[in-house]
Amino acid sequence: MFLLVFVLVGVTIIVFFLSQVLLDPLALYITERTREDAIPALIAYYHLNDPWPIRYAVYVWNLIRGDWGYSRSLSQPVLQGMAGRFPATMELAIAAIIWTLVAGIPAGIISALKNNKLPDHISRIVALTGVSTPVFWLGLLLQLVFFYYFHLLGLPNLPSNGRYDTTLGLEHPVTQITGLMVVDTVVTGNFIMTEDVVAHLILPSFALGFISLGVIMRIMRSSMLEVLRQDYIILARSKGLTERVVIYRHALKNAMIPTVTVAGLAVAGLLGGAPLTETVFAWPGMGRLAVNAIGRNDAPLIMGFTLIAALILVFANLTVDILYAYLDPRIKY
Amino acid sequence: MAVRRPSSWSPAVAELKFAGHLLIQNKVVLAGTIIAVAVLIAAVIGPVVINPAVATSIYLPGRLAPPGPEHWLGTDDYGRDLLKIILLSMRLDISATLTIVGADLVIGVLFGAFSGFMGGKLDEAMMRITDVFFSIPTLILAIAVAAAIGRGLNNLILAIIIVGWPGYTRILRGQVLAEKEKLYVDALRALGIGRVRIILRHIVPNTIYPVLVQATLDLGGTILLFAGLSFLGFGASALTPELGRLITAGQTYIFQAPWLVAFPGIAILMVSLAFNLMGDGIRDILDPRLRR
Repeated sequence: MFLLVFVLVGVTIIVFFLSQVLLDPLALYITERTREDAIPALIAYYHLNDPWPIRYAVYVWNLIRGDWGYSRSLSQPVLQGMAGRFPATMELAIAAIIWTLVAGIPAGIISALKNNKLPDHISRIVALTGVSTPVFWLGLLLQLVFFYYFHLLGLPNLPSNGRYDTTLGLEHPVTQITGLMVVDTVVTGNFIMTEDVVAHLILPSFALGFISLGVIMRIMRSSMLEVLRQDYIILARSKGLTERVVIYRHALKNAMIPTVTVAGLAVAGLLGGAPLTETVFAWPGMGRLAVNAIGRNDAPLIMGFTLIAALILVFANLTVDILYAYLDPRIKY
Repeated sequence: MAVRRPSSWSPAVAELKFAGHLLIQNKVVLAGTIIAVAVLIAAVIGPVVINPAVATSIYLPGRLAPPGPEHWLGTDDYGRDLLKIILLSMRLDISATLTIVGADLVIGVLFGAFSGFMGGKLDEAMMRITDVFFSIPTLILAIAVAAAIGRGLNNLILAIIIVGWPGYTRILRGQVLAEKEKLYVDALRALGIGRVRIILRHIVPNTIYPVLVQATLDLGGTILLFAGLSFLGFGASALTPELGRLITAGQTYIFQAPWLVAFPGIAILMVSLAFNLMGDGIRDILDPRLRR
């Protein structure tokens, strides 16, 4: 817990340094409609002429109060703009992590059981290609094949950008509840839109998750191999338990521990991949927002995104720590 | 083949021969190393064979020509030969990657060595700093730094250097903590040799291997990061031959001229894959625990 607070303080110091020391600190709080004569009052209000420690304290206090600065490209306060896009990014990230875990864990188990046979070689190649593939390029290729070429061939094609079909969305408006469109459409019984929303998720979440897939697969494989070598597995086998029970009831839980760590780290990868994937698929999330902010020199927005990304990552690591305690009763906090 | 006694070689040579033997044994690593070497050679001699002026020779009537006998990989939206541009780009991307990883290695090693050797508050502070860096996704932190220091190729390289060193610091610091307890360090101290000299001349050479391995493993990821940030609009200007930039340019014509996106991406993939295979191989060879 102490470490968590410490890390957050550190992150705010870095972002404070980038936005208030390297860049014009006033830019964070003014808009094009700010009147000239209002500027001295703003400087006084945000203590911009005070010594650095005071400025930092004021900056952090404003962050806590929810004043993250004003985004010129959105004409909106940063936090408000981010909040509007947060669910889109989360939905994409959740979809990506679900499919990588669902595909990666069994694939890892299979390659451990077929160690150094064909399935293992295939998983090794997929893993190596995964970490070597530029995600933005993969996204564009997926669009080319599954949207354009499938369309040309008259096959059912997948949508290549956005979260839903806007014309269909007008006919069957989606009620916002959680902001996660899949959940919202299911809860409200708007199944026509569920289908559309899921179709829109497939390509971007595949591209985003592809990098993490290999990592999860390989870790699952090596920890499974490690666990299968242990004495208690030999005991379980010699008791005459079936291979299925040995693996899924006895080995899996222990083998999951390293995988959970890596899945926590994969969240960092997914967040880092978000700006690229969202840009390629015109996905209306925080990452795309930050990328658009680059072109318009909208630093407050970029800094806000950096802070949120760090918050999510810290939260993800905390979740991993809690999961540990569940998976491994020897770990106590 | 007659077995020679290993003792007849000096240890370094024996090590090298054994490494070579392992390299040849592992087909995948061998293939990776061969591809890596081929790609590196292409990237190095490419700009020598190709006139760099190709990059700025705009010929609009010949734009967006599909791959064919005259232009093997087609032409881009400026009418430039894509193959030549890609070869020119590869040198830029590879040298940027090597610069970044090299600089991070130096920074990380220095910080890690002094942090681990000095210990105490300095060490504690350094570790907390690395914690903070690890808690922001690299690409996003690099975007924030690049946004703060301004655009341009050199600033992009600088931004990636700034975010990349903590990993090496952590690894080296761990090594140094164990190394500094060894007897020879006490002996050096007793001889009256200064701390800086002990660290740089004796401890670093003895502890640097794991960091070097990590650095080779990071090359593939770094080129992806560099190309990705270029793709997003940081870094090189429009006509500069750079792989990420080429994909940005080709994105507009993705359905009309898909080769503009496909080939530069394949080039990134190949370079990154080659680096990763090489890194894996070097790790396997240098790490005795993995020699099975």
